[in-house]
Amino acid sequence: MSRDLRLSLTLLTMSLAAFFAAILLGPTPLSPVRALAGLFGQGPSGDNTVIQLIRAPRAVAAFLTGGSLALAGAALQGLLRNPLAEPGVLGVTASSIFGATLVIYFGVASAGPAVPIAAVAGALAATALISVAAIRLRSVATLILFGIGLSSFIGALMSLLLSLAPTPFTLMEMVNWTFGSVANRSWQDIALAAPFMAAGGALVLLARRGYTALTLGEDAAAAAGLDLQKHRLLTVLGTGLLTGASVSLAGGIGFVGIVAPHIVRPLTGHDPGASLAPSFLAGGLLLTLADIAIRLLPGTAELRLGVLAALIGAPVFVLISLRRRGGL
Amino acid sequence: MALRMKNIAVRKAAAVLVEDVDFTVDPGRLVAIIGPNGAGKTSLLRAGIGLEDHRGSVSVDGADWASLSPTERARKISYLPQKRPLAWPLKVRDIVALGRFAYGAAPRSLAGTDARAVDAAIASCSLEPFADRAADTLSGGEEARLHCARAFAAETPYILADEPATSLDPYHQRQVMKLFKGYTERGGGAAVVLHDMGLAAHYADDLLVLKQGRVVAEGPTASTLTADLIEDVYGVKARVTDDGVTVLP
Repeated sequence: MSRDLRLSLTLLTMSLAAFFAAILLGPTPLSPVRALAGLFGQGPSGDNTVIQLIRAPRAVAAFLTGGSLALAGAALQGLLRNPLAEPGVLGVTASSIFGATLVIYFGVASAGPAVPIAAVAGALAATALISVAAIRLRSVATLILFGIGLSSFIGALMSLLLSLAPTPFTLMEMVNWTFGSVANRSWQDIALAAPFMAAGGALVLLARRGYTALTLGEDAAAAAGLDLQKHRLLTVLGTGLLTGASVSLAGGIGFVGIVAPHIVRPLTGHDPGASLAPSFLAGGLLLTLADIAIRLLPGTAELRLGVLAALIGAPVFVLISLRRRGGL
Repeated sequence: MALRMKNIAVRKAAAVLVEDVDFTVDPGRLVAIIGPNGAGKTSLLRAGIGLEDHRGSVSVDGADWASLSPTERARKISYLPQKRPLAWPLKVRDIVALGRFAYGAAPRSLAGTDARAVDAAIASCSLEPFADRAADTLSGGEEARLHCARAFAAETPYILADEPATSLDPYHQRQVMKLFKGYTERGGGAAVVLHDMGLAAHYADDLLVLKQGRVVAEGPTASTLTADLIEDVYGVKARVTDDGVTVLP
């Protein structure tokens, strides 16, 4: 068995264990046997409801969101050849949230897949903009500044939108999006986001060999047989779909896309192409564990997942940037 | 059977970088491209493999370059860029394996022909002791050999190399040039951009001399490289003897 496969299987086993822990733990104490019975609909109807309709979809939503964001991060890092590239840092998440809140603002959020489509459209607009900027800006440091500028601009648009909110209820709903959470997610929410995640994941996996080739720069990669434009397009579409679908499912959750690939990379020989699938699993695992931690923290109001992710992720981002050899 | 560039011209905004350059690399020949900074050497190579917008035509062993896919191109010509960034600290063997990209090979899961080509390239560049080391721990000389090995692993009939020996000490410069010489002796055709005229005089079969984007001289090294040419192209006096080139103070 290759080392990469062994790593993925280990992460998968840990993810399954985390999933089981997620359905086991919660305000209603359940024994492992009762939790398993509830998962398969064999327990008392109360148990079945708690497990099947509350805890299981919540855990799956956390896993898929974390996985998709980590996959998008790993792909962007491969394309831009920088470990600090990530949907949140580059403004893709903000743009996607703006798309989703725009739909909420106009009150069409309940219309089927309107929120996922708007979130994906917002994310795609940002990834397209960033890829155009990446061609013009040779320095990745400048590109990250571009992303910060984009985030700030969209932040201003968000503030504008919030100040124009027609009702307090709309305002609250829009603010909730920006925090990021997987509480109270239903299987329908997951079913709406999952196809976009699958499509985005397939696109970046198709591009995976290109990320390895880009290790030696664009000229060497192109001369080695990589179609740069096609590869960039695959990444832009793939990361846009992944980020947009994650935002539509969980709102704004940052830094998973940096932390998960950062943990995985040394275990895959620093090969950005080989780190994609393990990054997905590690990101899913991290967010599932973070969501369990939130539910176990004492207190009346639940801490938002997006807030916890930023509290842990932002210092890691700073650490990576400080320890990086040769600057940005 | 040859790599032929015809009427290559490269312009950027109003600047003419390369103007109507004809250039041929025959199998088994090592061509040194020399000329002062800004002569158009890098632009010529980049245009030749389609990395730079240009006019003119390129053919490889009779095939029109424009009609080839990126993969087909990569199986004909290996290219060593002047700038050789390393985004991730991959292992030496994995970097060499990138030479097999056009054959669908992925580093760390090489098999058959790909594994043999990578092993042979590592051996030919004496990189065996470093094969499992991270590439960012190599010295300048080792790193130069690493990039040669990546180019050799592709087993292409032609290699274009942009200043592969620059910023190396004299010993390692010679090591790198011997690698290219070995490649042409095995039947490959190589065009190598050089700044060191002593290296060109010693290792190149042919010269292509550029100045301000135009060819000012070309032909067999022994008859082309003269003191007058060096003074005309570089504006320095030099002594050319059988032992090499000495630039005079």
